[in-house]
Formats: sequence, C-alpha cells, structure tokens
Amino acid sequence: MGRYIILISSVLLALTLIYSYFFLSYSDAKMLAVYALISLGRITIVFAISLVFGVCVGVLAALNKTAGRIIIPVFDILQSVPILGYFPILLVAIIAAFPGYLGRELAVWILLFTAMEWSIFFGVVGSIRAIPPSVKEAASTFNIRGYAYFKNVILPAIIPALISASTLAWNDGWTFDIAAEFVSYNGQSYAVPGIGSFIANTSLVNTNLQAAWTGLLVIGEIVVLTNQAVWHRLADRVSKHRPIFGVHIPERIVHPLRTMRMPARRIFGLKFRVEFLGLSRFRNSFSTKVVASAFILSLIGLVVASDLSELVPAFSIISQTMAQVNIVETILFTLFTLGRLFVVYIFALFVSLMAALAASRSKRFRKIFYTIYDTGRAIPYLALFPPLFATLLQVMPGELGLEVSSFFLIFMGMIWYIIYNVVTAASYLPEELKEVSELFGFRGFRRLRDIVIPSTLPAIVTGSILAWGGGWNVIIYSEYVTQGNNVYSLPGLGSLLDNAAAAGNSYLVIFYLFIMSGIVILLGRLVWRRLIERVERRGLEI
Amino acid sequence: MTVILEVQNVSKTYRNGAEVKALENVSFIVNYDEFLCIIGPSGCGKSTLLRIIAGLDRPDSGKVIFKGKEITSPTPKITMVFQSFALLPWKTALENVELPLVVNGYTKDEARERAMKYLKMVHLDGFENVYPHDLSGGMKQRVGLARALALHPEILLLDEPFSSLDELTAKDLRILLLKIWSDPTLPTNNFIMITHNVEEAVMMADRIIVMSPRPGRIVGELKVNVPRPRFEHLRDKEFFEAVDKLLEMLSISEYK
Repeated sequence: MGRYIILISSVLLALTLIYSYFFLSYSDAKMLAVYALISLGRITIVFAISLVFGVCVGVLAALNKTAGRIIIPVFDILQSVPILGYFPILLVAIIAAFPGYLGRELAVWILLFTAMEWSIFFGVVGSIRAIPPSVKEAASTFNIRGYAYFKNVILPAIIPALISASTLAWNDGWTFDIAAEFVSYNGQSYAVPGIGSFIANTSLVNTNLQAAWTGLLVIGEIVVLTNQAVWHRLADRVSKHRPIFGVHIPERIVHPLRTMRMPARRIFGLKFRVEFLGLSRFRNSFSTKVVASAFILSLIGLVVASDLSELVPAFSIISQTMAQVNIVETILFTLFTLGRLFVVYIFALFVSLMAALAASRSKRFRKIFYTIYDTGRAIPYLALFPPLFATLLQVMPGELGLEVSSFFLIFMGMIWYIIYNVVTAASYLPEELKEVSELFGFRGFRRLRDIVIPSTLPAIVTGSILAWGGGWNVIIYSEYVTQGNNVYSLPGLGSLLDNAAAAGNSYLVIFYLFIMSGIVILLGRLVWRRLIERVERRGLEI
Repeated sequence: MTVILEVQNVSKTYRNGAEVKALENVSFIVNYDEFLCIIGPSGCGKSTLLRIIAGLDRPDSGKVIFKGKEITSPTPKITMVFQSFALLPWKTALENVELPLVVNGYTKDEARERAMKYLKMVHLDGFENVYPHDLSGGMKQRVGLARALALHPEILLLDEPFSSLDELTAKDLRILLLKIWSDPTLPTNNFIMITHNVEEAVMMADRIIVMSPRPGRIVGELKVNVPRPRFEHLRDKEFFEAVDKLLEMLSISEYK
C-alpha cells in the first residue's frame, strides 16, 4: 500500500512540475520546481534544528528537576500564544536588527521553528516521564547508569514519540510555510522565495488561479510523498521491532480507558501530550479565580495606566494604544470570532461523532478512515486559503467569499484533531464493551449516547482543546486578506489584530494578542479543565 | 423436552494474518436446570464457544439451537457475565443494571425497581450510586451478575467470572452464585460457566465438559455426583475423585 502511494505521488509530482514548466502561462511558473526545492530545503533544515534542540532540551528538562521547572512552563506559555499573531512584530524586529534578505530569511526560520518545536519538545519530555517506575527501579537495581541508561532506557523510550512528533512537526512546518514566506505588515509585503510565497503571489498579488492551484498541488504531493516515504516507514519499523513498555505515551493520552492499548503507528496522538502537560500544570498552580482575576486586573490596569500617563511618561504608550481601542467593537468582534469558531466546531464535532459511531461498528470503515485521514491531514490548509479565496472571489462578493473560505479553513484546522481522536478512541473501545452493547441491544442513538460519547469523552475533550488551539491560528490568517489592491475583512478579533498589523501598530497587535491569549486561557480554565475533571471523576483517563 | 440448548458440530477459524483454528466440530447439549461447566487450558477456544452461544460471534460451520431455534444474534434470553466485568465506567452501579432493561423496553420505573431488587440480591444495597471505578473487583462482578440476571434470561453464560478476583472473594461469589442458581423463585436456572480451575468446576457443576488446546475439541465429559450443597463436601472422597478424573482428562488432552 505504502509503496503504491509513494509511486503514485512521485509520478503525480513529476507530471505537475512538467505541466507547470511547459504549459502554465505565468511568468514565474518555470521556477516552480526550484521554489519547491527551496521550501523543502528550508523546512528540512529548520526541522533538523528543531529535532536536535527538542531532544537536547527535552532530555534536560525531563531529567533535571530544576531545569524542568523553568523550561517546561516557559515553553508551555510560548506554545499557547497563536504564533501567527506575533509573527509580524517579530519579523519587523528581526529585519530592524538584520536588514535585508538575511533578516527576512531568519524570521521565516524562527516562525517555522516555533511551528515545529513544541511537539518535539513535549513529545520527548512526555515519553521520558512515561517510563514506568518499575523500569527505572530495575535499571538502578542492575546498576545501569549514565550513558548506558540513556542508550538502553531513555533512547528506546523516546524514539516512538520522536517519530510521531516529527511527523506532526513536518506537517505543521508545511502548513505554516505559506504564512512564513509571505507576510504583509505596515502596508508592505515581505516575501522570501519558496513555494508558499509562489502560491500567495499567484493568488493575492498577480492573480493567476491556474498557477496558484498548481502550486498547492505540488505542496500536497510533496507532503504526501515525504510522509509515506519517510515517516510512515519509520513508524512501521519502530512499531514492528520495539514494543516499548506496552503503552506508548501519546496513545495513553488519547485512550479513554486505563487498560487499553493502541498500536504505535498512529501519529497524531502526540499533541495531546502537549496540551495535556499544559493543562495538568495549570491545575496544580493557580486556581481559576486567580487566573481570571489576574486577567481582569491587568485589563483594568491598562485603563488606569493610560489615565496616569500624564504623571508617568512611560505610560503614554499604553494610553495612546488604549485610545485606539474601541471597547464595544472589541467585545462585539470577539463575540463574532467566538461564534464563528463555535459554529464550525459544532459541525466538526458532529462529523467526528458520526465517524466514531461508524468506527465502533465496522472494521472496514476504520481502514478507509485512516487512509482519508492521512491524506486529509497532509493538506497544508493555510496554503489552501489564498487560492480558495481567490477562486471564490470570481463567483461571489468578497466578504461572502472570505466568510466561506474562513469557515472551510477553520473546519480544516479543527476537524483532524477531533476526528482522529474520537475515531481512534471508538475503534479501540475494549472488546467486552462492544460485546456488552451488542449483547444488551444498544443501537443507533442509544449506542451513540450511552456507549460512543461517554467512552470517547476524554478523546472528545483533548481533540476539542487542540481543535480550538488550531482554530485561533486560522482566525488570524483567514479573517483579513489583501487581494490585489483590495482589502477584505470579516468582523472579528483576528481581523482587528490583522488591521493593527497592517497599520504597523505593534502595541495594538500586542493588546489584541493579549486579549486572545486571555480568552484561550479562560476557555481552558472555565470549559476544558472542568470537562477534564468531570471525566476524571468517573475514573477515566485523559 | 429436557434439552434447552444444543451445540451442533460448531467449527471456527480465525484469519488474522495467520490462521488459527479455534474450534473443531464441537457438539454437546445442555439440559433444563443444569449447571454446566466447560473446562480447558487457555487458548482452547472456550471463550469463542461462549460467544457463539451468546450470538456475538458466528460459527464457520455448525449451529447452536436454543429451544428449537437457531441462534444468529444476541437475545435477552441469553446473557453473559464477563471475566473483566465489562461495566460501563461512566455509569453508576444502578445505571449499569438499569440500562439494558431500558434498552429492552422496560419503563424507567420498572427498570429501577428490578435493578434495585437484583442489586440487593447480590448484596450491593447502599452502593447503587457508586461508579465502577470506586468499587472493588468483587463488587464489580456482583454488578455484572445483577446486570445479567435482571433481564431474566433463561441461560446465563459466565466467562471465567472469578479469575480476575482474589481467592477469598471468589469463594464468596461462588457460594452466592450457587444460591442464585438453586433459588426456585428466580427465572434463570441454566448456567454455563467457563473456567480453567478444576476445583471450581467440581464445586459448581452438574456436568463438566473438557476441551483440548488448539484446535478446541471436546475430549471428555464428567458428571459430578458430589452431593449439594457442595461446600459441605469439599473434603469428601467423591470430590477428590472427581478432581483427579478431571485432571487426568486435561493432561491427556495436553499430550495428545
């Protein structure tokens, strides 16, 4: 199967490139293959850096308590801020420090690094922490220490997680590639050569839809090809030869019931660990009240500080920023964004639950599902946005087209997290529970309500948390777009932020990012954490 | 009519990459009001056999006849107690017992009343609103028992019901199970139990069917003549004779 996919996708890739070289009527089309290679090289190098960094720092953080106490919370906060929000500011700062091409390239690398790093780092930390105490005790009984311990215990423990995390990171790298290679800030667009900027250019600057879709096709083919040729093969090899401690961390996290196991092949699980660590840390540190009141206090602080600006000159930046904020508009637009995310979320959840119901009954569906998932997940959805929007623009008014593309993009950003978790959990429902539901005649809605939903609830919760995380990044990218000389935007928090960025107002961008992060954290505290606690009270594990 | 269930030439092979022959030409009958045990080493297909009787699995050839009709899918007339309890972790003890009743058409009130009665019968009154997670292994299996019996099945299947429990708890539950079986006021009087514990089989069963390891075949049958209640006769000569015979049949099946 894998071999066929490799063959087919390489043939398709070659055909697409030949087509673009000879038949595309676009001035830059002959360079498409070169651009693809540049992006491939860029992502590979940054991936290698992330991998080395993630393993070194991850091992340090997991083994050394003091280091862990500092590094893990810092990374946890960093990974919870939507990266696309702060990227423009970062870009400008870096370009100021390193003018010219070097600065731009460096900024792209940093964005790609932040897109890839967290899953690797938390994968390493998570898998080392998941080494059972008995194994550690056995190792110290037999006096296995130092390098021998690293080689025989740590390394085998992190390798499966490393492969899962790498697959994730690789896909995330391609997803964010377009956002990194092409940025508008303060009325200027910053681009570095690459396939991402090719797609953005052909969709949004020199509109040539044929070229844009061809570029997207090339990205998709590269991702499918590399996933198959590298990651799936590595994952297969590892799951064949190394049954690591029976329970493989990411799976343990998705897994609804304590005693169940899953094959090590599937990859996506890892991100749960990421969020999971974050949430469990929250739980031990501050109460909901503290976080909520800190957030509200700092909001009040901002207002007060802007009033005091005449007395304390340093506050004048705050007062100037706050003067530009229309509070009613901010609240209203935040609600719009939340509504947009919520509607798509409900839709994605519904689709996922139907799939879970089917998976809990049919082995054949499960097989088909994972093929669809592998392909669907490989689509770098951010890259899909510009061509999709530019195409819709031909048939409908701009705002409607943007709303539709935004809906679709949020859906793509959310669905894979939820559906993967929920379907996997439903597929690995313990055999006895499936038998119980057949034996006692649970069918249709009953099966969904009494068996599928409760048994996959931990997976629903983790999947939802991740989906919302993905949703926030998408919002920033999809509520506001410049096409040709026209600016289109939807009312929402994302477009407020983008507007501020387009005007080059860094302080305002930071303010909106602050609001956004605050909402993300509050949602985590008020909704997700409560759900997790409810699930855990029933003795289920997240 | 004395036969309630008839297993006729049942064979089953699993094809999961490699072919595993689980059952080969298995035939036996179960009489009304009989306590039947099926004993065999692990991997002899006894669980598969039980699942075929429950209608959860279909044989490749042969069939199972229950009161003159072939079994092709699960029926509330035949229920099962699982080795791993298989309670729904997200439901309380009471809800676990109630739910199958509601699903099978009882009203909420009837289901509640019936569930309470059976929980009381397995001595779990006071634990109705506790989740499985907070129950001990023995208590979980009591819930499993109540759940299976509450539907008033005619045959109760027990898949190694005590092998996940410690010996003291298992002893208590065996006595409880025998009490339930011999209670004439209860509608369930046919028990088919799978075990790999020789003493347990002799203590519980009227008749014991012995199976060989893969592929599962019937290699012998033993009628237990130890008088009941058996726990008063655990030191009798007859009891040990039955145990020895059974061990002999099992060892033969091992070296064949």
